[in-house]
Amino acid sequence: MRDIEQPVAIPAVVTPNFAAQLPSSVLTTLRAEGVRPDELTLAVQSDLAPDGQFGEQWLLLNPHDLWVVERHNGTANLRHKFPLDKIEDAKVERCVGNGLMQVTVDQQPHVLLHYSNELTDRFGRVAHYLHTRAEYGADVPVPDPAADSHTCLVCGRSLVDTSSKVCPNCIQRGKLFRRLLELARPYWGKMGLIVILLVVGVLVDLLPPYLTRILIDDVLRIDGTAGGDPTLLPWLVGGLLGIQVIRVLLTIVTNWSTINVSARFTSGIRDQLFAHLKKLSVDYFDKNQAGRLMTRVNQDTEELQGLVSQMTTFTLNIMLVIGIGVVLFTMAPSLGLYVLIPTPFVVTAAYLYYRYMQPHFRRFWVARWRLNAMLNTFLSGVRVVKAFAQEDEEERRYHNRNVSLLDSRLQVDLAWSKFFPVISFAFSAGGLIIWYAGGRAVLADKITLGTLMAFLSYLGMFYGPLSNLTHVSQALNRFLTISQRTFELLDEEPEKTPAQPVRGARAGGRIEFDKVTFGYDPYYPVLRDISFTVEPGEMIGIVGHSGAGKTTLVNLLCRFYDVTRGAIRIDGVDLRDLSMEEIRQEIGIVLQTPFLFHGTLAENIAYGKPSATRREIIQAAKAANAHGFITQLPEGYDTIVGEGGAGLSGGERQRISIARAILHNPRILILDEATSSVDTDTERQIQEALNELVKGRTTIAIAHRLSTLYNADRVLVINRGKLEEQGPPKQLMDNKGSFYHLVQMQTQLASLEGVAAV
Amino acid sequence: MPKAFEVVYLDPQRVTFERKGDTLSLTLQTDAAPDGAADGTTNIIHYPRVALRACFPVSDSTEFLSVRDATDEALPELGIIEDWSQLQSDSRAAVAAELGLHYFVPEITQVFEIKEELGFLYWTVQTDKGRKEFVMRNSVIHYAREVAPGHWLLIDVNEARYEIPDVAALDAHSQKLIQQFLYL
Repeated sequence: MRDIEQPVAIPAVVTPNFAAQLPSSVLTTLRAEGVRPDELTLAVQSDLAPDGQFGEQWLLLNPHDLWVVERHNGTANLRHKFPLDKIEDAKVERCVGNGLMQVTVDQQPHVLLHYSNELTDRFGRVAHYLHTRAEYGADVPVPDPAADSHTCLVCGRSLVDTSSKVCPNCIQRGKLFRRLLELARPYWGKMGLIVILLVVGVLVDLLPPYLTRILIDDVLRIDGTAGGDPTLLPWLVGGLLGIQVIRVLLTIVTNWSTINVSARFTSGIRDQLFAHLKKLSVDYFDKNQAGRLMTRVNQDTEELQGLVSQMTTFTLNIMLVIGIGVVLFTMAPSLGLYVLIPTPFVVTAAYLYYRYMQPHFRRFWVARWRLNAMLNTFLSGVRVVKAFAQEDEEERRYHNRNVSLLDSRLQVDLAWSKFFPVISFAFSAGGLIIWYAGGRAVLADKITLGTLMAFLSYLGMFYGPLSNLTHVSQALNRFLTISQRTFELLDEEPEKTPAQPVRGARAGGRIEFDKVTFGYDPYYPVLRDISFTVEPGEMIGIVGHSGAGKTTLVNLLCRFYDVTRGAIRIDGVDLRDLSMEEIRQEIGIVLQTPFLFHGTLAENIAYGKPSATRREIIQAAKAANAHGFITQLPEGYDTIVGEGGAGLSGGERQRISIARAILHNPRILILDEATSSVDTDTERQIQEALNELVKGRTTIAIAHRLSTLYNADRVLVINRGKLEEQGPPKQLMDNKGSFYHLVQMQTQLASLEGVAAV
Repeated sequence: MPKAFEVVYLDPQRVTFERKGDTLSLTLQTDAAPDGAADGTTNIIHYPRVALRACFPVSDSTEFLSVRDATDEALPELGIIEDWSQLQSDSRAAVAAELGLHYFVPEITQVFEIKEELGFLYWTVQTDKGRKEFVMRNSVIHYAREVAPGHWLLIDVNEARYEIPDVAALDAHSQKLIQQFLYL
């Protein structure tokens, strides 16, 4: 595939020395501009043309100017030229399937060029350079555009999938196997035992036809010649019976140990995956949908187990094919050759079969998944369906998906019913050839009848395993794919923890944001240059429109994410130098939508401190204004709540989560819109609980209802990622700034609600 | 100043789009004087850079075009053009070019090869924007979406999108490959 011409190969990043690597037409254009190529400090290529086709554009810098040159059919022309000192700002913007870079010159926006998504990092870095250069002057170092290097660690080729470190071409299958074996180390002993059992099993399998041969040739003497030995008959039959019994026992033991090993092995992997998953940063969970991770942890390991068992079957079959082949050829070399005649047919038919069936099976799985997803949506949204009287429409949708499931099922069965007879025919045709050739040999007295019979028995055992082996490569591939995916997750870097976390008794709980800039995607900042401090014991309110970056601020303080630039300090220590345990110990959080885990209320309250005594739990519940309703419940503190906390109202759940925070006893408390989703009366109850909680703690409260902030020491107003205003609420009201306007707006709204209530 | 919940429709005859480089600017004529009183005079506002968002980019991108002020990070909406094919020809060309760049979703016209390796699908395709190779995670459920019968949207590992408007309209070889790997 890779030898096909690559007109839109991943564009190169040109590093010094630029001049030699730039297309000559681009160089000519530059010279015409009076630029010496050796002055260039940066040259990056985009893979999109200005007309919206795949193409080629260059962004070039020297110490004084910026150019954008388009190259098309070998000729280059200049599209933009700006003196660097006149560039006031630069940024990248996300479009659909691509991105663009914009600079501001003379307060006029100019879009320089578009680039496809794979180059986001590269142009993001250039834009950041231009932005900081505009702010701090020409001394800012020019970035190394190659630093993004999503290149394969092995072959150095650009990685198409930036989430993995090595390109699929370079994933060494052997290495994967070795890693798997390493993972299976605890089971090596058992695996060895299984191999021994398999070998014994094969040897035992080979015996019955051999005994049959003796039975026919030396005992029964069907050819009529005298000299048979009737006394051998009971021994032979007894021997055959004994072999059958041994075979049964062997099969039971082998199967049991195979299942045992594969199940334990994969359950071990599942544990490892979960243990690793919990170490990953929140960022990772943002980028990977929960559904995909579920597949990794559940389905993949399950399939892995099936495949491990399958590998045992393959090993058995390989040994059988070899064993029987050897026996066949030693017993009657001439007949052995006849066995080979139908072999190609059997092998091709089986191979084609598996190739043909696979898509059908996949289609069936996908159809089943879609049907399940549809049912799931219906059940969870049944109120909406009924409220909008869409039952019939939903039924139609379900029916359609059911039909496609039916179709795919029928296709699977049809394919099976078509191919199975063909395979059986290939098998029996092989037998017929032996009947013919062997029969002639018997008639010519070249071999005995017993040999022929034994031969036919062996043959019956030969084609089955052989056809099974034809999809060994497919199964192996699948096995490697799933192992690779598993390792991909295990290789994902866990949350960064400082090598030597700063520990120590820090009193207070002073929080300092120092020029914090952050974006979930580093090139699209959500917060910009935020600086403020919160003194120990102070209560700070954060307000702003939704999407302004309030929750992001909290996410940073909890270190769910790391700041892009700047620093956050607690009592003078950078958050990144603290261990995660310590951060979690210092900071307690009450979220807008409280999350209760499956378990009793007592367990939920003690979530952050499992060692809490009952006395402490009740104390916390009491302080959170939750004790009253809990004791009213039939099972009291032993009430089991589900994942969402079913059976409890929003306000009740919120008070449980406040009790949790009280018991956790952090020095810094974050209230993220803790009262926004409840009615006024419940809010009052929660507020009472909160007032208890915030005593003596540094508190940061994000509030939607501004009325809850009147007793805050200070209020910060965040607008579009920037800190717009800060001060005591009263002073902000007097200033008539943005806080004043927010309050005004809410008062108007409240009066509207008041009218509606009357 | 229109209220927040009011949809402003722009008259295609009274808006002029202009493209310089890759920057799209807009000149807007309104009847109302700045103070809101309709006194018959026209008021001309120039926006140095606007952004366009199609309301229905997949099903019909010629209808309901949202025009936004790109000099403001919040991209406030200036108005909606219900059918931008009604624009004057220069403006229409500018809009078409801008949309073509913003929605860079190549349409697959031919599939040369699809290869599966270790959980990824490697596609080699001809698109209306040129030949391209891309890599998609081999999870049809998550990364291939049938947006309408026979109309597929593929999302590659870089979140780039590729469209197949009608699978049945492709040549037999392409169809066979697609059927085999997307399990149609």
